[in-house]
Amino acid sequence: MPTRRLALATSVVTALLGPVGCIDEVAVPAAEDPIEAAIGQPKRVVLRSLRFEVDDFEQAVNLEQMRKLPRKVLDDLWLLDFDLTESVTVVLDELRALPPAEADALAPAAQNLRRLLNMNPDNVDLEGTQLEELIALSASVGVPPARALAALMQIGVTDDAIPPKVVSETFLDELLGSHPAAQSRQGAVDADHPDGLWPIAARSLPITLGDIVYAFESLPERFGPASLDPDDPNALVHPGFVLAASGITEDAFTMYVRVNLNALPYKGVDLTTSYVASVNSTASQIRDVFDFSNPDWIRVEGLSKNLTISEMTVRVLEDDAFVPGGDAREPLPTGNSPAWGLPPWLFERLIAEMARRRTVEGIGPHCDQYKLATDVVAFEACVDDTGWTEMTTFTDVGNPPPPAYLWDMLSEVAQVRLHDGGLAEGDADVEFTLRDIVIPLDQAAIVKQIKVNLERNPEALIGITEQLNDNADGDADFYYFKPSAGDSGDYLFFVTADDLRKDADGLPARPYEYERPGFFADPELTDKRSSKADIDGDTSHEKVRVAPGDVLYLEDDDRRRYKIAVLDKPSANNLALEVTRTR
Amino acid sequence: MRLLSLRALVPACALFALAVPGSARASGLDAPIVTSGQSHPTARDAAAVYWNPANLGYLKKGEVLAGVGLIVGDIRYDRERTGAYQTPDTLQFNAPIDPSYIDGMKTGPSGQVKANPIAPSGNFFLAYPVVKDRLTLGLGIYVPFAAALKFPKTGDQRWQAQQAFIATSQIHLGAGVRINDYVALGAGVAYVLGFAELSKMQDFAGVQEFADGLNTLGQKNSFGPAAPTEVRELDVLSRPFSLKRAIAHGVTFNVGVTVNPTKRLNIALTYFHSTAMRYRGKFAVDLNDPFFTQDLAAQGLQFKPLVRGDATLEYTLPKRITLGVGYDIGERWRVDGFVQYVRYSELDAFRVTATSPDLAQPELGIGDTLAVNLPRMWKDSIWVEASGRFRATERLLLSATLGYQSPAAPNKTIDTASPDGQRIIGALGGVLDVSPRISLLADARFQGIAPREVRGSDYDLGNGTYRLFIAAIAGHLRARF
Repeated sequence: MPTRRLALATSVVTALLGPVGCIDEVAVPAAEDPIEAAIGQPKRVVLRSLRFEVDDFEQAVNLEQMRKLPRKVLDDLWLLDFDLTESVTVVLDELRALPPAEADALAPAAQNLRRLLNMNPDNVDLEGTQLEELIALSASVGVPPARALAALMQIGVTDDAIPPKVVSETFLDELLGSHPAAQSRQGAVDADHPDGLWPIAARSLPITLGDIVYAFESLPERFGPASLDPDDPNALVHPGFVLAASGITEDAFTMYVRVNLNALPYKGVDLTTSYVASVNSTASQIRDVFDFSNPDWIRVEGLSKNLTISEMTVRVLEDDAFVPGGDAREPLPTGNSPAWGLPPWLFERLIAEMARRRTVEGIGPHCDQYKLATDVVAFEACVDDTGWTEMTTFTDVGNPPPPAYLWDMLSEVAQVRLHDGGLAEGDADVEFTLRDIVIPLDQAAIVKQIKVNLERNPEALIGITEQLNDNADGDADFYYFKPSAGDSGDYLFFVTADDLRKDADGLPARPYEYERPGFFADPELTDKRSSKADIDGDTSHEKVRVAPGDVLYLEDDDRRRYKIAVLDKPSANNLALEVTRTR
Repeated sequence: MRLLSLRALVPACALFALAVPGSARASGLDAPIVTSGQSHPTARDAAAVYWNPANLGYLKKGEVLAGVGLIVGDIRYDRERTGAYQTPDTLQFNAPIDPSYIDGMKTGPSGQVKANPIAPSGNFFLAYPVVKDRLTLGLGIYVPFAAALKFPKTGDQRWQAQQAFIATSQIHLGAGVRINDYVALGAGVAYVLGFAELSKMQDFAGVQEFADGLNTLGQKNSFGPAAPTEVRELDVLSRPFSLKRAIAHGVTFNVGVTVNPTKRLNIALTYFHSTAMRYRGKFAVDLNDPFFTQDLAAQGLQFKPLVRGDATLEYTLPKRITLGVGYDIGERWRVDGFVQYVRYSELDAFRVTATSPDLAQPELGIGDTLAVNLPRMWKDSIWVEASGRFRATERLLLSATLGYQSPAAPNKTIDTASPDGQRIIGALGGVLDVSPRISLLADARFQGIAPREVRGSDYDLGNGTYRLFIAAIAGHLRARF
């Protein structure tokens, strides 16, 4: 108050001694609420073509900012295919080595898998399987059955019947590989990928920016149940295999993108109200936005230490029926086991495949002969180069198992043993959880991969770049464009679907419902004056070069029609138009 | 962001600087008449509280001196651009810019602009001997400066000044002590009240904070106070700005001594101290352009269409020293004069602070308070006047004056807010003694500069030709009691 009184007093004194002045107030006009243009009432608008060319502008996008971006934008930005083989193998190794006390606490399905992983010739019980006869045969020659089985598999008696690596690779090839989401992803349309579908690397999890930002929470959805052919209601449905997933992405994760672009929007007109609207100019520049010759055009920080899948539970379902092994060589190369006709995600098919790989990759053609004390060969077990296994007795030591592919014999053993303890068929689902797995990442390699991916498909960054440069305003029907160089003409561009303002979810804020996009010479819109001729590399917009005195007609997305008259130019980079609704 | 760039403040700063007695002498917009034309450093009247308080000591009677005046001016400026300018409706921000963006028409002379300020003025002085022939007290209330400028809003000077108004009053108390007939001493203290308003087109290209903001975005640019002409005066960055209701309070003092070697010869020496001034007002800037309000919001640039806030302007007026001499040639003739040396070189810059929460642009590193130093680099100046006074009759005295002021504003910083030059002063005056106690005083005073052609203006801001002519008339009533 003293200050006010002093000011008042001094003002009075000043007023007495000299006129208090005086100068005009700085004021701005009140913002007008756009109202619908009335028919026949022209309105003058001035459009500005102003370029604010930012060069090598590094935009840092941290996690917090990314979470403000529409989810679709993030999920559409594929970063890399991450090979899960090593990660899954490590988990299976750990599961196998789990102490019994801890293993007892596992879910039944996890215990089933642990049992499978721990099978070896020494602990496997062949009773109830086709190899049961091997028990008697072995006894007759004084050889433990485990040794005979180990010899057949060309491993030691305590070696893994099916090593974790084989299990993991089979899971990833068959279970993951058969899922639609692991086969292809959306990418750039080019000559090699005319449909825009790009294959995903084998045994790999396609990782998007959304996975990192949202800590892999969408994995169960993406890798949940999915039809193999969405267009066919009768198509097989992959049951999915990720039950739950979560991740850890530390706040340090930040992506830096360097851009070169005109950061200002194009100025256009919403014909409905004659409002001067802004059209985001990013999409039209996207091919030139990134300087791929600059090695730092994109960089990522906080990735190598923080990309962690804290939990991903994988489940494999068992068929409700026992699936016997085959008993014939044909059809080659797998034989006639019904397992090969099962979908690749079912346990029986997977176990058959594991056994087949174990045979093909680890067991060569050989014969094992077992002799009596008299040095007479009592029986012989031979595996040929196709895995076909025949056991032959030469004395009265018992009946040999019927010939079969070795994988059929092994998969039968695995199936039978998984049901020990009274487990019914169909209840031996297999499950394992990847927990707190810090995926060792080579940051440089991954960043390089990200660069390669995005350089190949910069359009993938349109969404995020538009969001970072979100300057659209209103709903323009057309906008003013001046070529950046060489052509000093003035052009009007009719908007395309790509120009529509985006909502908070990154989706167009309105449908593109123009029946007759373009500019015409007559009110009936029969004589089109615009074309998609190449201007500054753009061939997608209907566009027309204009000059003072031109009169054009056009229609908006509500089927209203307008006349626009090009007025004298206020300045070189400003265009004045008179817009009149005609109907 | 420097809301008030160097050029933004020139009008106010220059005018305010001249608002205090003495400092006004070096400006083209100073009041030609602070007191009656019969008052000067060796004059013995009530206005001595301002000119030389020592002379109060020689007053034998109380005296009231009150007057009114009218100041009119004619200020013209023919801008002549010597730099290369970008097409105004583009926005290339890093020099050297592509030659295709250079506006070939924007060079050389442009249309003349002029302002014709009219401002009334007034003053009141009172002197009263409290100890006869020994001690006299004095009071002065006067307006050492009152001026108004109104240039065309769209003229080529608009980045320098569009409108300005300045009025400064002083309330001055002084005392003079007569030691003897040969020597008197005096001193005074003055309260200084300043009021200022101004408007101009603020060129954001010259704003350091704007340059810094772009640098924050990693965009090398040529903006800032040293911006070359290629990036100046762009449409989108030229924003209307005003400083309104700016009031300053200051205190200063003066001392003087008068020596009378003979009865006819008077010598005066005075010193007027510097004055710290701090104006507090309100600023407003029109940022109602999508560039500032909308289009770059994602990059952190989003102002309200109209930003208002508090603004301060600080500077220190320079000290000055005056030597006056008067000599009575006979009963009817007297000549007097003075030379004043002003340490304007002390005024090197104006310091401005603008504060508003609406200024803050955190993502660009711009806070809500902006400070700026505005270099002026003025020069010390000299003011010389000589007068002849002739008592035509017993009741009528006539006077004529010639003078000269050297400019304070150098070519580097001159502009239309402080038109300045080699100033020639002329004045005529008269005193009619209506009665032994009552006198009427009339003055007409003129000053002008020869057309000043400037080519060395920093960044081509003020190049061109300046013309100035100011006339003032005043009438006073003097009563002795």
